[in-house]
Amino acid sequence: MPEQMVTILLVEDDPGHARLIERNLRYSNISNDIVRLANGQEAVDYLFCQGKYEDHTRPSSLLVLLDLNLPVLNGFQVLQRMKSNEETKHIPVVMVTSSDDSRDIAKCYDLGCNVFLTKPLVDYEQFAEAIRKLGLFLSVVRMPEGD
Amino acid sequence: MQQHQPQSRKQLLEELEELRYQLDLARSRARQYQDEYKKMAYVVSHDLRSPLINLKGFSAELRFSLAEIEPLLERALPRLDESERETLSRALEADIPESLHFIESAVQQIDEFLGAVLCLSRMTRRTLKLEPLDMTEMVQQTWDGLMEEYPDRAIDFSVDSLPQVVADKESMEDVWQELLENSVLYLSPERPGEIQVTAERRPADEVIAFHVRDNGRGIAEADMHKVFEPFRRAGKPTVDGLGMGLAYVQALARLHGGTLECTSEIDRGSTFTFTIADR
Repeated sequence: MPEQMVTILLVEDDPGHARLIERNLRYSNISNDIVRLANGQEAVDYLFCQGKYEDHTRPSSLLVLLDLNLPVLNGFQVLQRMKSNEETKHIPVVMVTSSDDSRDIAKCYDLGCNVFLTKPLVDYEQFAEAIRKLGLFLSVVRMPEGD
Repeated sequence: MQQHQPQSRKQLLEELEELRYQLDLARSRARQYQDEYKKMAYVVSHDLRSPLINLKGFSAELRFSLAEIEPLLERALPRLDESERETLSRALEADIPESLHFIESAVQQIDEFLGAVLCLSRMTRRTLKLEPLDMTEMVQQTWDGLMEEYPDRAIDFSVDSLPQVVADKESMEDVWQELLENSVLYLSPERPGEIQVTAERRPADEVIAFHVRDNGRGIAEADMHKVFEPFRRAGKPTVDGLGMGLAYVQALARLHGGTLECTSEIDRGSTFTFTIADR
Protein backbone atom coordinates (compact mmCIF):
# COMPACT_ATOMS: atom_id res chain seq x y z
CA MET A 1 0.00 0.00 0.00
CA PRO A 2 1.44 3.41 -0.91
CA GLU A 3 2.19 5.66 2.03
CA GLN A 4 -0.57 8.17 2.46
CA MET A 5 0.49 11.81 2.84
CA VAL A 6 -1.22 13.70 5.64
CA THR A 7 -3.94 16.09 4.51
CA ILE A 8 -3.97 19.33 6.46
CA LEU A 9 -7.39 20.62 7.39
CA LEU A 10 -7.06 24.32 8.20
CA VAL A 11 -10.15 25.71 9.94
CA GLU A 12 -9.74 29.49 10.05
CA ASP A 13 -12.32 32.18 9.39
CA ASP A 14 -9.89 35.05 8.78
CA PRO A 15 -8.68 34.79 5.18
CA GLY A 16 -5.48 36.70 6.01
CA HIS A 17 -4.53 34.39 8.86
CA ALA A 18 -5.31 31.36 6.75
CA ARG A 19 -3.09 32.64 3.96
CA LEU A 20 -0.22 33.41 6.36
CA ILE A 21 -0.37 29.90 7.79
CA GLU A 22 -0.59 28.35 4.34
CA ARG A 23 2.34 30.38 3.02
CA ASN A 24 4.54 29.45 5.94
CA LEU A 25 3.65 25.78 5.59
CA ARG A 26 4.55 25.99 1.90
CA TYR A 27 7.91 27.64 2.65
CA SER A 28 9.00 24.38 4.18
CA ASN A 29 8.40 22.84 0.74
CA ILE A 30 5.64 20.51 1.76
CA SER A 31 3.34 19.25 -0.93
CA ASN A 32 0.57 17.99 1.35
CA ASP A 33 -2.98 18.86 0.41
CA ILE A 34 -4.28 21.78 2.44
CA VAL A 35 -8.05 22.04 2.78
CA ARG A 36 -9.23 25.37 4.15
CA LEU A 37 -12.63 25.79 5.78
CA ALA A 38 -13.95 29.02 7.25
CA ASN A 39 -16.38 27.91 9.95
CA GLY A 40 -16.79 25.25 12.61
CA GLN A 41 -19.93 23.68 11.17
CA GLU A 42 -18.25 23.15 7.82
CA ALA A 43 -15.32 21.50 9.60
CA VAL A 44 -17.67 19.11 11.43
CA ASP A 45 -19.51 18.36 8.16
CA TYR A 46 -16.19 17.66 6.45
CA LEU A 47 -14.92 15.46 9.27
CA PHE A 48 -18.13 13.44 9.58
CA CYS A 49 -18.95 13.41 5.85
CA GLN A 50 -22.32 15.02 6.31
CA GLY A 51 -24.22 18.00 4.88
CA LYS A 52 -22.55 19.21 1.71
CA TYR A 53 -19.71 16.72 2.28
CA GLU A 54 -22.10 13.76 2.35
CA ASP A 55 -20.57 12.20 -0.75
CA HIS A 56 -16.98 12.84 0.15
CA THR A 57 -14.60 10.38 1.76
CA ARG A 58 -12.52 11.60 4.65
CA PRO A 59 -8.79 11.39 3.84
CA SER A 60 -7.34 8.46 5.75
CA SER A 61 -4.62 10.57 7.28
CA LEU A 62 -5.55 14.00 8.55
CA LEU A 63 -4.18 16.73 10.76
CA VAL A 64 -6.38 19.60 11.89
CA LEU A 65 -5.20 23.16 12.47
CA LEU A 66 -8.10 24.69 14.37
CA ASP A 67 -8.88 28.29 15.30
CA LEU A 68 -11.01 29.01 18.40
CA ASN A 69 -13.16 31.97 17.38
CA LEU A 70 -15.12 30.55 14.50
CA PRO A 71 -18.59 31.28 13.17
CA VAL A 72 -21.53 28.85 13.62
CA LEU A 73 -19.62 26.34 15.77
CA ASN A 74 -16.55 27.55 17.62
CA GLY A 75 -13.24 25.72 17.98
CA PHE A 76 -14.16 24.23 21.39
CA GLN A 77 -17.30 22.68 19.91
CA VAL A 78 -15.46 21.24 16.92
CA LEU A 79 -12.74 19.83 19.18
CA GLN A 80 -15.28 18.38 21.60
CA ARG A 81 -17.16 16.60 18.78
CA MET A 82 -13.97 15.25 17.26
CA LYS A 83 -12.50 13.92 20.47
CA SER A 84 -15.74 12.31 21.70
CA ASN A 85 -16.21 10.32 18.50
CA GLU A 86 -14.47 6.97 17.94
CA GLU A 87 -13.89 7.70 14.25
CA THR A 88 -12.22 11.06 14.68
CA LYS A 89 -10.68 11.04 18.15
CA HIS A 90 -7.28 9.83 16.88
CA ILE A 91 -6.89 12.78 14.47
CA PRO A 92 -4.24 15.14 15.81
CA VAL A 93 -5.49 18.67 16.48
CA VAL A 94 -3.25 21.72 16.70
CA MET A 95 -5.07 24.76 18.06
CA VAL A 96 -3.87 27.92 16.28
CA THR A 97 -5.52 30.93 17.83
CA SER A 98 -4.96 34.54 18.83
CA SER A 99 -6.14 33.77 22.38
CA ASP A 100 -3.52 33.44 25.08
CA ASP A 101 -6.09 33.20 27.87
CA SER A 102 -4.97 30.50 30.29
CA ARG A 103 -8.58 29.27 30.68
CA ASP A 104 -8.87 28.75 26.91
CA ILE A 105 -5.57 26.86 26.86
CA ALA A 106 -6.59 24.61 29.77
CA LYS A 107 -10.01 23.96 28.24
CA CYS A 108 -8.53 22.90 24.89
CA TYR A 109 -6.11 20.44 26.52
CA ASP A 110 -8.97 19.11 28.67
CA LEU A 111 -10.99 18.50 25.52
CA GLY A 112 -8.06 16.61 24.02
CA CYS A 113 -6.18 18.96 21.71
CA ASN A 114 -2.60 17.85 21.01
CA VAL A 115 -0.87 21.22 20.84
CA PHE A 116 -1.96 24.81 21.49
CA LEU A 117 -0.23 27.56 19.47
CA THR A 118 -0.84 31.27 19.98
CA LYS A 119 -0.69 33.60 16.99
CA PRO A 120 1.51 36.27 18.47
CA LEU A 121 1.88 39.82 17.28
CA VAL A 122 5.26 40.82 18.51
CA ASP A 123 6.98 37.54 17.75
CA TYR A 124 5.44 36.92 14.36
CA GLU A 125 8.79 35.62 13.09
CA GLN A 126 8.83 33.00 15.80
CA PHE A 127 5.31 31.93 14.94
CA ALA A 128 6.16 31.73 11.22
CA GLU A 129 9.19 29.65 12.11
CA ALA A 130 7.04 27.30 14.21
CA ILE A 131 4.57 26.85 11.35
CA ARG A 132 7.41 26.16 8.91
CA LYS A 133 8.82 23.58 11.29
CA LEU A 134 5.37 22.09 11.65
CA GLY A 135 5.35 21.74 7.86
CA LEU A 136 8.75 20.09 7.94
CA PHE A 137 7.59 17.80 10.70
CA LEU A 138 4.51 16.87 8.68
CA SER A 139 6.61 15.78 5.73
CA VAL A 140 7.95 12.88 7.80
CA VAL A 141 5.20 12.25 10.33
CA ARG A 142 3.08 9.08 10.12
CA MET A 143 -0.32 8.73 11.62
CA PRO A 144 -2.71 5.86 12.29
CA GLU A 145 -4.81 5.11 9.25
CA GLY A 146 -8.50 5.97 9.62
CA ASP A 147 -11.38 3.62 8.74
CA MET B 1 -53.98 65.41 63.90
CA GLN B 2 -54.50 62.00 65.45
CA GLN B 3 -56.35 60.89 62.38
CA HIS B 4 -53.93 62.45 59.96
CA GLN B 5 -50.77 60.87 61.36
CA PRO B 6 -51.36 57.20 60.56
CA GLN B 7 -52.24 58.21 57.04
CA SER B 8 -49.08 60.25 56.72
CA ARG B 9 -46.99 57.40 58.13
CA LYS B 10 -48.58 55.10 55.60
CA GLN B 11 -47.78 57.56 52.86
CA LEU B 12 -44.22 57.84 54.09
CA LEU B 13 -43.86 54.09 54.14
CA GLU B 14 -45.20 53.90 50.62
CA GLU B 15 -42.82 56.58 49.53
CA LEU B 16 -39.95 54.78 51.22
CA GLU B 17 -40.97 51.58 49.50
CA GLU B 18 -41.04 53.38 46.15
CA LEU B 19 -37.61 54.91 46.78
CA ARG B 20 -36.21 51.49 47.70
CA TYR B 21 -37.61 50.10 44.51
CA GLN B 22 -36.06 52.94 42.48
CA LEU B 23 -32.71 52.40 44.23
CA ASP B 24 -32.75 48.68 43.47
CA LEU B 25 -33.61 49.43 39.89
CA ALA B 26 -30.78 51.97 39.57
CA ARG B 27 -28.34 49.53 41.17
CA SER B 28 -29.28 46.72 38.86
CA ARG B 29 -28.99 49.06 35.86
CA ALA B 30 -25.56 50.21 37.04
CA ARG B 31 -24.46 46.58 37.37
CA GLN B 32 -25.80 45.87 33.91
CA TYR B 33 -23.92 48.82 32.38
CA GLN B 34 -20.78 47.80 34.21
CA ASP B 35 -21.06 44.23 32.91
CA GLU B 36 -21.66 45.49 29.38
CA TYR B 37 -18.68 47.82 29.64
CA LYS B 38 -16.42 45.01 30.85
CA LYS B 39 -17.64 42.73 28.09
CA MET B 40 -17.11 45.39 25.46
CA ALA B 41 -13.58 46.17 26.65
CA TYR B 42 -12.79 42.48 26.39
CA VAL B 43 -14.35 41.97 22.96
CA VAL B 44 -12.78 45.12 21.51
CA SER B 45 -9.30 44.38 22.78
CA HIS B 46 -9.54 40.73 21.81
CA ASP B 47 -11.13 41.04 18.39
CA LEU B 48 -8.96 43.94 17.23
CA ARG B 49 -5.92 41.70 17.53
CA SER B 50 -7.11 39.68 14.56
CA PRO B 51 -6.64 42.37 11.88
CA LEU B 52 -3.40 43.39 13.60
CA ILE B 53 -2.01 39.90 13.13
CA ASN B 54 -2.63 40.36 9.42
CA LEU B 55 -0.87 43.73 9.36
CA LYS B 56 2.11 42.33 11.20
CA GLY B 57 2.17 39.05 9.30
CA PHE B 58 1.89 40.51 5.83
CA SER B 59 4.52 43.17 6.64
CA ALA B 60 6.85 40.31 7.48
CA GLU B 61 5.81 38.61 4.24
CA LEU B 62 6.69 41.78 2.30
CA ARG B 63 10.13 41.80 3.89
CA PHE B 64 10.51 38.19 2.92
CA SER B 65 9.53 38.93 -0.69
CA LEU B 66 11.99 41.85 -0.76
CA ALA B 67 14.76 39.53 0.31
CA GLU B 68 13.77 37.17 -2.49
CA ILE B 69 13.83 39.93 -5.11
CA GLU B 70 17.21 41.30 -4.07
CA PRO B 71 19.55 38.77 -5.75
CA LEU B 72 17.48 38.92 -8.95
CA LEU B 73 17.85 42.67 -9.02
CA GLU B 74 21.59 42.50 -8.63
CA ARG B 75 21.59 40.76 -11.98
CA ALA B 76 19.08 43.09 -13.62
CA LEU B 77 20.57 46.39 -12.46
CA PRO B 78 23.45 46.60 -14.98
CA ARG B 79 20.88 46.55 -17.79
CA LEU B 80 19.20 49.74 -16.53
CA ASP B 81 20.36 53.30 -17.08
CA GLU B 82 21.55 55.38 -14.15
CA SER B 83 18.30 57.20 -13.38
CA GLU B 84 16.32 53.94 -13.51
CA ARG B 85 18.84 52.34 -11.18
CA GLU B 86 18.47 55.23 -8.76
CA THR B 87 14.68 55.04 -8.75
CA LEU B 88 14.72 51.32 -8.16
CA SER B 89 17.34 51.47 -5.43
CA ARG B 90 15.52 54.26 -3.62
CA ALA B 91 12.25 52.35 -3.67
CA LEU B 92 13.71 49.02 -2.63
CA GLU B 93 16.39 50.08 -0.20
CA ALA B 94 14.92 53.20 1.39
CA ASP B 95 11.23 53.83 0.79
CA ILE B 96 9.78 50.36 1.13
CA PRO B 97 11.78 49.43 4.27
CA GLU B 98 10.90 52.79 5.82
CA SER B 99 7.19 52.30 5.11
CA LEU B 100 7.36 48.81 6.59
CA HIS B 101 9.09 50.16 9.64
CA PHE B 102 6.31 52.68 10.28
CA ILE B 103 3.59 50.07 9.77
CA GLU B 104 5.31 47.67 12.14
CA SER B 105 5.89 50.20 14.90
CA ALA B 106 2.27 51.37 14.63
CA VAL B 107 1.13 47.77 14.97
CA GLN B 108 3.30 47.37 18.04
CA GLN B 109 1.86 50.50 19.65
CA ILE B 110 -1.71 49.36 19.05
CA ASP B 111 -0.81 45.91 20.32
CA GLU B 112 0.58 47.30 23.58
CA PHE B 113 -2.50 49.46 23.99
CA LEU B 114 -4.89 46.55 23.39
CA GLY B 115 -2.80 44.34 25.65
CA ALA B 116 -3.25 46.86 28.47
CA VAL B 117 -7.02 47.12 27.90
CA LEU B 118 -7.27 43.34 27.85
CA CYS B 119 -5.23 43.12 31.04
CA LEU B 120 -7.48 45.66 32.81
CA SER B 121 -10.56 43.86 31.57
CA ARG B 122 -9.24 40.53 32.84
CA MET B 123 -8.50 42.09 36.22
CA THR B 124 -12.05 43.34 36.62
CA ARG B 125 -13.29 39.81 35.85
CA ARG B 126 -10.75 37.98 37.96
CA THR B 127 -12.10 35.24 40.24
CA LEU B 128 -10.71 35.87 43.71
CA LYS B 129 -9.22 33.02 45.71
CA LEU B 130 -9.42 34.33 49.24
CA GLU B 131 -6.83 33.12 51.74
CA PRO B 132 -5.03 34.44 54.83
CA LEU B 133 -1.97 36.44 53.78
CA ASP B 134 1.01 37.82 55.64
CA MET B 135 1.17 41.29 54.14
CA THR B 136 4.41 42.32 55.90
CA GLU B 137 6.25 39.42 54.33
CA MET B 138 4.64 40.04 50.94
CA VAL B 139 5.62 43.72 50.94
CA GLN B 140 9.20 42.93 51.94
CA GLN B 141 9.51 40.25 49.25
CA THR B 142 8.05 42.54 46.59
CA TRP B 143 10.47 45.27 47.63
CA ASP B 144 13.48 42.92 47.53
CA GLY B 145 12.46 41.77 44.04
CA LEU B 146 12.01 45.36 42.92
CA MET B 147 15.46 46.37 44.19
CA GLU B 148 17.00 43.62 42.07
CA GLU B 149 15.53 45.46 39.07
CA TYR B 150 16.80 48.85 40.28
CA PRO B 151 20.09 47.97 41.99
CA ASP B 152 21.58 51.45 41.70
CA ARG B 153 18.86 53.19 43.73
CA ALA B 154 19.69 53.91 47.35
CA ILE B 155 16.31 54.25 49.03
CA ASP B 156 15.46 54.35 52.71
CA PHE B 157 12.63 51.81 52.83
CA SER B 158 10.61 50.77 55.86
CA VAL B 159 7.58 48.58 56.39
CA ASP B 160 5.56 48.48 59.61
CA SER B 161 4.14 45.30 61.02
CA LEU B 162 1.04 45.06 58.82
CA PRO B 163 -2.23 43.33 59.73
CA GLN B 164 -2.94 39.84 58.40
CA VAL B 165 -5.58 39.91 55.69
CA VAL B 166 -7.84 37.50 53.88
CA ALA B 167 -7.49 38.33 50.19
CA ASP B 168 -6.49 37.02 46.76
CA LYS B 169 -2.73 36.42 46.74
CA GLU B 170 -2.11 37.15 43.06
CA SER B 171 -4.09 40.41 43.25
CA MET B 172 -2.27 41.61 46.37
CA GLU B 173 1.11 40.82 44.79
CA ASP B 174 0.08 42.86 41.74
CA VAL B 175 -1.06 45.75 43.95
CA TRP B 176 2.22 45.91 45.89
CA GLN B 177 4.30 45.56 42.77
CA GLU B 178 2.49 48.48 41.10
CA LEU B 179 2.38 50.76 44.14
CA LEU B 180 5.99 50.22 45.20
CA GLU B 181 7.36 50.49 41.68
CA ASN B 182 5.31 53.62 41.15
CA SER B 183 6.86 55.19 44.27
CA VAL B 184 10.37 54.26 43.16
CA LEU B 185 9.89 55.63 39.65
CA TYR B 186 8.51 58.96 40.82
CA LEU B 187 11.11 59.70 43.50
CA SER B 188 12.81 63.07 43.22
CA PRO B 189 16.36 63.14 41.87
CA GLU B 190 17.01 66.08 44.20
CA ARG B 191 16.93 64.22 47.56
CA PRO B 192 17.55 60.73 48.94
CA GLY B 193 14.45 58.62 48.47
CA GLU B 194 12.28 57.53 51.40
CA ILE B 195 9.38 55.10 51.15
CA GLN B 196 7.25 53.87 54.07
CA VAL B 197 4.51 51.30 54.15
CA THR B 198 2.03 51.47 57.04
CA ALA B 199 -1.50 50.23 57.71
CA GLU B 200 -4.43 50.45 60.07
CA ARG B 201 -7.76 48.79 60.61
CA ARG B 202 -10.81 51.04 60.16
CA PRO B 203 -13.54 49.21 62.05
CA ALA B 204 -16.20 51.83 61.30
CA ASP B 205 -15.84 51.15 57.55
CA GLU B 206 -14.99 47.46 58.02
CA VAL B 207 -11.84 47.85 55.94
CA ILE B 208 -8.08 47.66 56.36
CA ALA B 209 -6.19 50.63 54.92
CA PHE B 210 -2.64 50.37 53.61
CA HIS B 211 -0.49 53.44 52.90
CA VAL B 212 2.56 53.81 50.69
CA ARG B 213 4.20 57.15 51.45
CA ASP B 214 7.11 58.59 49.50
CA ASN B 215 9.07 61.85 49.48
CA GLY B 216 9.07 61.97 45.68
CA ARG B 217 8.05 64.52 43.10
CA GLY B 218 4.43 64.68 44.17
CA ILE B 219 1.43 65.43 41.99
CA ALA B 220 -0.04 68.86 41.25
CA GLU B 221 -3.63 69.32 42.37
CA ALA B 222 -4.74 69.94 38.78
CA ASP B 223 -3.28 66.60 37.66
CA MET B 224 -4.73 64.55 40.49
CA HIS B 225 -7.78 63.32 38.55
CA LYS B 226 -5.57 61.83 35.84
CA VAL B 227 -3.69 59.56 38.20
CA PHE B 228 -6.18 56.68 38.31
CA GLU B 229 -7.41 56.94 34.74
CA PRO B 230 -6.25 54.33 32.26
CA PHE B 231 -3.56 55.56 29.83
CA ARG B 232 -3.08 58.84 31.68
CA ARG B 233 -0.29 60.02 33.85
CA ALA B 234 0.34 63.11 35.86
CA GLY B 235 3.17 65.53 35.16
CA LYS B 236 5.88 65.17 32.56
CA PRO B 237 6.10 61.84 30.72
CA THR B 238 9.49 60.88 32.16
CA VAL B 239 8.62 57.28 32.94
CA ASP B 240 8.20 54.55 30.32
CA GLY B 241 5.01 52.56 30.12
CA LEU B 242 1.40 53.12 29.35
CA GLY B 243 0.24 54.73 32.57
CA MET B 244 -1.95 51.77 33.49
CA GLY B 245 -0.48 50.73 36.85
CA LEU B 246 -2.78 52.68 39.14
CA ALA B 247 -5.84 51.84 37.05
CA TYR B 248 -4.97 48.16 37.68
CA VAL B 249 -4.57 48.78 41.43
CA GLN B 250 -7.88 50.59 41.57
CA ALA B 251 -9.64 47.72 39.77
CA LEU B 252 -8.13 45.18 42.19
CA ALA B 253 -8.95 47.27 45.29
CA ARG B 254 -12.57 47.54 44.11
CA LEU B 255 -12.74 43.78 43.55
CA HIS B 256 -11.73 43.43 47.21
CA GLY B 257 -14.46 45.80 48.39
CA GLY B 258 -12.09 48.72 48.80
CA THR B 259 -10.82 51.88 47.15
CA LEU B 260 -7.61 53.56 46.06
CA GLU B 261 -6.92 57.15 47.07
CA CYS B 262 -4.04 59.54 46.88
CA THR B 263 -2.95 62.65 48.74
CA SER B 264 0.01 64.57 47.45
CA GLU B 265 1.98 67.76 47.57
CA ILE B 266 4.11 68.83 44.66
CA ASP B 267 7.85 68.47 45.43
CA ARG B 268 7.09 66.95 48.85
CA GLY B 269 5.77 63.50 48.01
CA SER B 270 2.64 61.37 47.73
CA THR B 271 0.73 58.90 49.85
CA PHE B 272 -1.29 56.19 48.12
CA THR B 273 -3.89 54.53 50.29
CA PHE B 274 -5.70 51.40 49.25
CA THR B 275 -8.32 49.67 51.33
CA ILE B 276 -9.74 46.18 51.22
CA ALA B 277 -12.67 44.64 53.08
CA ASP B 278 -11.67 43.42 56.58
CA ARG B 279 -12.81 39.80 56.35
